[in-house]
Amino acid sequence: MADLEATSKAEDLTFFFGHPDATFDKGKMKPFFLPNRTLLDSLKYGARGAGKFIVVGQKGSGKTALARYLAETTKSKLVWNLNVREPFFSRSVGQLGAYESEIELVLVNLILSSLANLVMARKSDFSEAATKNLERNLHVSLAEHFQKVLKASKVKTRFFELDLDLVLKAEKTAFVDYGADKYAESLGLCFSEKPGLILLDDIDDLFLGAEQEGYGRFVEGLCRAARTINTVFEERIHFLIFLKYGVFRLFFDSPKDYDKLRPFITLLEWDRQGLEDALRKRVRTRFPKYTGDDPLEAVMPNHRPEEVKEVLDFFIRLCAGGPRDVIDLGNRAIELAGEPVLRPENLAKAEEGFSRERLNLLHSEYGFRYPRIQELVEMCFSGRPAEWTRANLLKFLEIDVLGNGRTSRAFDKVEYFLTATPERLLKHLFSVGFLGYTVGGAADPVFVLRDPNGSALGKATRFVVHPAYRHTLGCT
Amino acid sequence: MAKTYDRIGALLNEVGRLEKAGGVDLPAAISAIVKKRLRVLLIDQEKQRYLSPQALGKLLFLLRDMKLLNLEPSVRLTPSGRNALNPENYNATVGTAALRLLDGFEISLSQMLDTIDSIAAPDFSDSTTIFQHLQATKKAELGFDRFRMILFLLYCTRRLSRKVRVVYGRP
Repeated sequence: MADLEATSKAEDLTFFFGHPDATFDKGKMKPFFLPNRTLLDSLKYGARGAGKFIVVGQKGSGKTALARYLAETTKSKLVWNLNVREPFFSRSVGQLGAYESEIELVLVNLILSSLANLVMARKSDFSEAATKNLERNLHVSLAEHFQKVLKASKVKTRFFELDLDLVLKAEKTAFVDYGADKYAESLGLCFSEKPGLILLDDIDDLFLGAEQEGYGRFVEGLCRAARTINTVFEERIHFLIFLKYGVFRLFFDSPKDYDKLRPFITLLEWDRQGLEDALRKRVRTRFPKYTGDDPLEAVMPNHRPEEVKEVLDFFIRLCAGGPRDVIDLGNRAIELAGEPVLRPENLAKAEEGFSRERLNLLHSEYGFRYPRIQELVEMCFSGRPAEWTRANLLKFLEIDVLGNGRTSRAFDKVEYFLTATPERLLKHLFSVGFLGYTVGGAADPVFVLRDPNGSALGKATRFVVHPAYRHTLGCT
Repeated sequence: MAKTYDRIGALLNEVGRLEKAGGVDLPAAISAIVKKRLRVLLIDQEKQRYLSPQALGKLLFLLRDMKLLNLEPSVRLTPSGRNALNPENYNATVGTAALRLLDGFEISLSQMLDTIDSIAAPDFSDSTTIFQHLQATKKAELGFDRFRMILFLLYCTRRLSRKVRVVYGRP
């Protein structure tokens, strides 16, 4: 156990398996993060001129970790993490345009002109010919165009300045004549040797207004902007968007042109093996000198293989979103133990706090699409069964939920509740990952990530509350 | 003047009583209810005219289709109908039942609300105009009379968060 000395400090035990939120994980992601090879191979990055660039995943499915991994491991001329620290972009989306096409045009211009400025700010990393071309051609042309149509731009020293307040107030038709192709030559030249990588994670933190009607339109406009930039610049600029599942649903539930974007969308999913491997990789980084076959033995000394399997079963069963759940649950159990050892009894104790927080996540993941969803499931499912037949569940939703005066009054301003029939409410509860279903005698329930449309929901015979929520709700 | 909303409550109560007393078939239930001369079924106070047995039957069929009543082999409350007997649950249950009925004709409340929102001057959102504007392939199967009743029920049970010009109710 000599290797464990470094991990026995209290703060190391709290985050023994890593920080549940990859944003706060110190150091490089590469040693911790186990990328899904199939997913990586499908993405547009590195030398690839085509591929998927819209990554959708539940909270905790590893979107931020993947973004960080790509930023660390891809040979890029410039990596731009477009995030909440970019106040220039931090706007309410209602101002960006009323239609998907307007939003697309505005975003293409804002992103590419900002990228051009970033290149100029790091002038020494680029060839002189490329930056001169940018300064003399692109910036001049940009300034001329936007000065003419918006009176909202100028070139200051070597940077192009767009007055965003004027842009937001302007008729968005001003952007029609200035598309991504106008940037292609000058910006493309900057990234002819190595590509540029733009990563946009947590879009609802940057672009405000997810709780307002119309955010789905914005998401579609943003995805269209990404498609335009990726198509025009091929292998020279990659623009990858990471969308929370709840945000994606705002667009997915009422898209204008989903078919045209679907080929570029990939879901970040985890199967049992993937989660087990992710856990093992994290343990291995903690025990670099471990040479056995299964690193989990290092945190479960003196346990028989079937006990190790039982622990893994427990982890996987409670995992609702992805690696974050596994990391969080593991950290809690280790902290309870006070030493880097996973004990089944500590895992069982850790479930209480874990389950509570998982329920809170329902709100942060789906709150803008389904306001007060966490409150609703707490009010209706506390102390109720964890498994239901179709008939029993529909009867329960009809009488005890929708037909209950107290519940009805509590949610009388909540549109999805107000407009719900029992069947529709069941679908909503499935859409947020709270309920899963089985068809016929199948043992494993299907949750929303495996069937985003709920296509077999109508044939389902049995419904289950996701195990992650059962403890805190006291579902039996 | 009593409205469908109040009549449904009264009918559910009457069916509950008949059920407790052993249950009767539909004609017997109609006849028993007619005989009681319920104030809520009065359609002309001056002439003391009550809802006809046929009209009462129509209302009972509506409640069957809303899954609040079963009519065969005897008239009895469904679990939802029984739930509606509790005054606290009445609006919630009847509103949900109305939505379910509409759902059977592939009409959602969101669709209705969108339709109401889309009606602009010189038109106004009375039941006839809403029905005309509603884009639903099965609306003819539902029929205007029932649509009007359901619209009114949704309004009374506070599901319809829109203003609707009320030209319901016959004298």
